[in-house]
Amino acid sequence: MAGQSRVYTGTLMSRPENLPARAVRGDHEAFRQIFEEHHRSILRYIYAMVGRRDLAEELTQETFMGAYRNWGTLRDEAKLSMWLYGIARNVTRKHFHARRHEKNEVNTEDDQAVLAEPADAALPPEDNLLNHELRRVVRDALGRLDEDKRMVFTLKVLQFHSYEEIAMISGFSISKLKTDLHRAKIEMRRMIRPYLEVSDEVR
Amino acid sequence: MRCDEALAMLDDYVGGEFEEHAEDRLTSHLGECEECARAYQLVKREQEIYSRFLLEVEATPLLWANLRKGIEAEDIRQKRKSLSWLVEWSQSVFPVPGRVPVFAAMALIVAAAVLVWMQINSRQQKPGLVPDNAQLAENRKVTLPAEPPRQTDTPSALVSRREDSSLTGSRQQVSTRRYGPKDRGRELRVARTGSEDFRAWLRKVTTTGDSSEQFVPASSLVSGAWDSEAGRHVQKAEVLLRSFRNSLGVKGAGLDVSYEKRQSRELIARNILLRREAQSTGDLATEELLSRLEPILIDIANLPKKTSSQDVRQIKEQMRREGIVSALYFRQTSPAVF
Repeated sequence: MAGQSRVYTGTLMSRPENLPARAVRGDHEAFRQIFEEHHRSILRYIYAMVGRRDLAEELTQETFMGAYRNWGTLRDEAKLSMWLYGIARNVTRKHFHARRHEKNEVNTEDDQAVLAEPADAALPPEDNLLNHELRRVVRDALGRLDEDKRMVFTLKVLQFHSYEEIAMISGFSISKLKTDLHRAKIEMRRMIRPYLEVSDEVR
Repeated sequence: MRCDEALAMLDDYVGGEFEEHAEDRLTSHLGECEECARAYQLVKREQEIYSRFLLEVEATPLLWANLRKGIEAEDIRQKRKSLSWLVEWSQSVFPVPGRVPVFAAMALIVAAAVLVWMQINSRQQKPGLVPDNAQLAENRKVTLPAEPPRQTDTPSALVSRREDSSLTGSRQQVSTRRYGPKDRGRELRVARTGSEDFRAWLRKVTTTGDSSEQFVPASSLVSGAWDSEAGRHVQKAEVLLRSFRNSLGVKGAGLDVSYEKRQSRELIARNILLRREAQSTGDLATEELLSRLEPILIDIANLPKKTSSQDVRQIKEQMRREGIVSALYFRQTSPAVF
């Protein structure tokens, strides 16, 4: 056990805890490793928030550029992921603020991009079509939630973060998060359930 | 378990945040109630859809490529920001496009630094080129009377000090030198105490004529050394002052005092040297005596060509107040106490 403990400690110390420090010193390789580890979850969060892949990539790039410029504000390297989510949230909020006249809704013009995604070869063609349709419905339903509910629904239901982590990212109280999540689920269910029942009947 | 209770628990149950003690009751209810079991299947189906919703979202290779370009541009921007002042200044001085202005400005700065260093180095090697404040102040003091011809029989120590000596032109300056804040600290306080004691003793001797009680200075700094140079100077001064004082009673106003003036000028230069010598050796009694003598000599030397009775009377009064003739006399007869 003692040997295992030593190995475990050594593993922790050799893990990328020093990556942010190296990135602060201008180590691009360290920054690339951080990007490789975190960009997917950040990109998916932003995609769920804005509903467009090209825009999500653009805002993800902006998020990591913001991180690169502001490494000095990262106080706890162990919370790097939450820190990046916080930047991503600010970036998306800034985007919505700049386009507030567009009602902050998911852009439905992304249908073509959704349809262009590779189909699941394991499923029959009608199932693939159904999946695409359900994805569009989910994206539209997300876009009709207000920003706070969309954020907590995305982080909790779609990305499985804990309430504590979401509170750290958003700065909201856990009780508010639970209330928003409950209402978000009801709204999502109201919009998705008809399609879900139809798809079950098709099956 | 009622159906409404079971339906309320479904979200938490599917989301994995279900309390274990209620799990058995819920699962047993779902096994018995077809309606709730169907609701459970729909919630599970929703969760599956949500779980798969983001799985297919992947970044394109362009994301890292663009980000790498962005951080490289940011690095360049930061470097430019740190040198922006140099670039702006150089481009204003050398309005040429490209990097030429920066190199030219850097060369200019290096050249200026080398020139400054050479200038400083040359000054350090030739300190005489730049007169210090003390020299300038001393030069400004030189007015009247003119420095008398140097005597060849002065001791070497005095000769060496004569080089930087200068005559003060007014009595006020001499007074300032005697009582001004030039000397500070313990030595000055002791000197003043010694001066006051000596003055009290001298006042007593001159008023009562009793010289049996010798002056014993309180300070150990008072030197007992008395060289022949100072003795001769005091003797000459006493003779001069007696002559000046006696001549006044006989000749009166309007008489020629050119001899006394010439003698005074000669004695002033020596008096300054001896006073400084006494000051440097800590001979406070001699310094005190010569400091009192000096303004009187200067006043005599500065008498106008046509001397009025008023001028002579003022000097006489000053001599009486200072008791300078008696002091000079006792300085010669009792040198050991000084």
